[in-house]
Amino acid sequence: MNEHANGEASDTRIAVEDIATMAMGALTFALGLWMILSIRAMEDNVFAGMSPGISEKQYPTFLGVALMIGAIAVFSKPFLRCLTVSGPNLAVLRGAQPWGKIGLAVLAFFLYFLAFECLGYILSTTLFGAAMMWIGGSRHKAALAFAPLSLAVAIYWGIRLSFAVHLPRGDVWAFILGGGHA
Amino acid sequence: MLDAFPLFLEQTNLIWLCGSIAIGLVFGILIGVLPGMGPLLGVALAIPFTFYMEPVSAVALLMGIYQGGNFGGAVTAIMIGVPGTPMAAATLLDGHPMAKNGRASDALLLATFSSFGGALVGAVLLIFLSPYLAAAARNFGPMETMLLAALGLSTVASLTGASIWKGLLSAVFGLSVAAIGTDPILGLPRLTMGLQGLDGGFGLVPLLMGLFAVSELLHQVSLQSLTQKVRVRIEMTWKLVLSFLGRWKNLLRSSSLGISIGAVPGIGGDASAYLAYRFAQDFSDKPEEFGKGADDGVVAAESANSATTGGALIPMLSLGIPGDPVVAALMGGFLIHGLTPGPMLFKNEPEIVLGVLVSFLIGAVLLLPIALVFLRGLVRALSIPKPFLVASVGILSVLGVFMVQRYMFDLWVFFAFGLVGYLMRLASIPAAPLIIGFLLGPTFETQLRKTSLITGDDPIGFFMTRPASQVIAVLLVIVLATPLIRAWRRKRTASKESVKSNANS
Repeated sequence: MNEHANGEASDTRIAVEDIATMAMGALTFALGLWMILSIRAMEDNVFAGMSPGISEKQYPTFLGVALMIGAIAVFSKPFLRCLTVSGPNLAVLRGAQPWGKIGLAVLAFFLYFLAFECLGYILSTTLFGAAMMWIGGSRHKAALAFAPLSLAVAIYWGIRLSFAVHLPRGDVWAFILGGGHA
Repeated sequence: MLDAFPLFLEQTNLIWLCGSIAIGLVFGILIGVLPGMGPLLGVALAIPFTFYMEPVSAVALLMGIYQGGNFGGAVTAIMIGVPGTPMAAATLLDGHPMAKNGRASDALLLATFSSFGGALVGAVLLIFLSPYLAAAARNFGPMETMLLAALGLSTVASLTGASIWKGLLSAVFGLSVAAIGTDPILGLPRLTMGLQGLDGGFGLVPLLMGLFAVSELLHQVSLQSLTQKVRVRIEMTWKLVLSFLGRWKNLLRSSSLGISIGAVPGIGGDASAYLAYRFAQDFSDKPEEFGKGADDGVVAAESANSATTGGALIPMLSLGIPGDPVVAALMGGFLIHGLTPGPMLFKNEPEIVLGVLVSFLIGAVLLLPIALVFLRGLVRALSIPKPFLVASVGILSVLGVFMVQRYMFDLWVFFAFGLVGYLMRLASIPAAPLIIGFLLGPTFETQLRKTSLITGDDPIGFFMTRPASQVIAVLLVIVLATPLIRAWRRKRTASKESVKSNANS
């Protein structure tokens, strides 16, 4: 029973690793290809062309080629495994990680950056902090509200007083209260 | 270099310097205690905040985090049986059994003394060895510098984990990311996609923080909470102190091993701690006690991993080669302050180098009182609720990235590399080679192109006239070939064993 569970967990881990490896392989292959094409599309530099040695276009092209070769080498093994051994079993991935939590954390970061300048540092950070605490498992309402707020306020004023750095006050507050960003 | 001592004293406020080291140590120990965090994240988080400090104090703070973080991992290993950092894994072997046998205080104190001893030995050797190595490297031309950068890049072969291809892909990815921005020879923009933010290339801080902080955060979110309510009463007795002093041979042997292994790029503190542990067991009168709570096991593992920090700084400071991920991040801290580690730093700014070396020594000395004062509180830090920890790390990392240039583009770069870092983590692709590739990329490209200009059509002929280049090239071949040979031997042993087992069945 235990062996069966261990085997299943190992299969799941391999499936997650394989799919992530293929995704990284595809990403780096695309980057390599883009580098080669962008460098080819670049205009030749007249002065650089007159000197011997590795030209300004050759080095990034070498890197692009190396990236594509590396990507193929990394991609091929899990790809073949997916095709030949068990097939791409996406169902096994569902329970492999708490994808919902991870997705929410990524979304929290994305929304935080979108709101950063608009809502200002204190408000956006408080919301982000509360979201991260909630994703991390905290359900205590007072803690969710006060811990991130106090941290955000402390950081805002701490940075302002010690480094004379003004973190964004926010377009919304500037509109309501008047004055500039900071 | 000692000639620079008056200038160093003149330029440096020693109280401020000691304060920076102490803050670094406390922060480092704290972040080392928190499972899954460790000195790498600590250094990455702190780099942006050092932006407003004097270079020597800034580097001192970062090195304090490195030293403290290495020690902090032992507290977690001893108290809850989970190594706070990979380096502390060997400490767990005897430290946790000691705690379970009711000797938690003894284990923590022995780990503290051993860390102090190891760090001190490491610091002394660092001070004596690095100037000689830097002096030898001072006459290097573009070919030698390029080969040194290649040697640094080749260390990824040892950092690759299970698959060499994955490590190599990560390193080339790092070199490629470093190539985006401005051509280092012509000064013209390239591969910028027309984005103004990429004219100067990717910033080190957003890249580093994204790869390590965001991916760590997403990983922590996916884990069950490791927070535990733990308390311990620290009792220091003369008997324990004398027992520790009686183990001086073990301490010196393990520290020497630690510094030697640390100085070889790409091996790291965890390997040195395990090796020192094995040696201690071999030399012990009671080897059967190892693994059940042997004092010598804790002393060996902790002193070795602590001394490794000094060893790992030798190639970085004197040659500009970062041998492990934390040192790569530390090197990033140097670069942000306009200090390029390597022989020229010793020549052009000896007072800075002296400051760095002195800071490391002060850090080693301060580790003992700081660790002793905070030990009880540190154990309590294990009870910090994970949700609060996750939120704090998220908030601090974003703040750190934004503080450098106060530029929204950096936050998006941080976000993008965070996703890439997490994907790499899921794919078991190590991120350390990417960072090393990114840091060494500009040097490698510049020196490679300069070398090709100088050597013209006859690079081999030129190479044959450069003995230093030949030595580095041999080292390069050894470093690259070792993991390949090791993998081949592993495969051969495995196949032999399978043939044997088939024959038996």
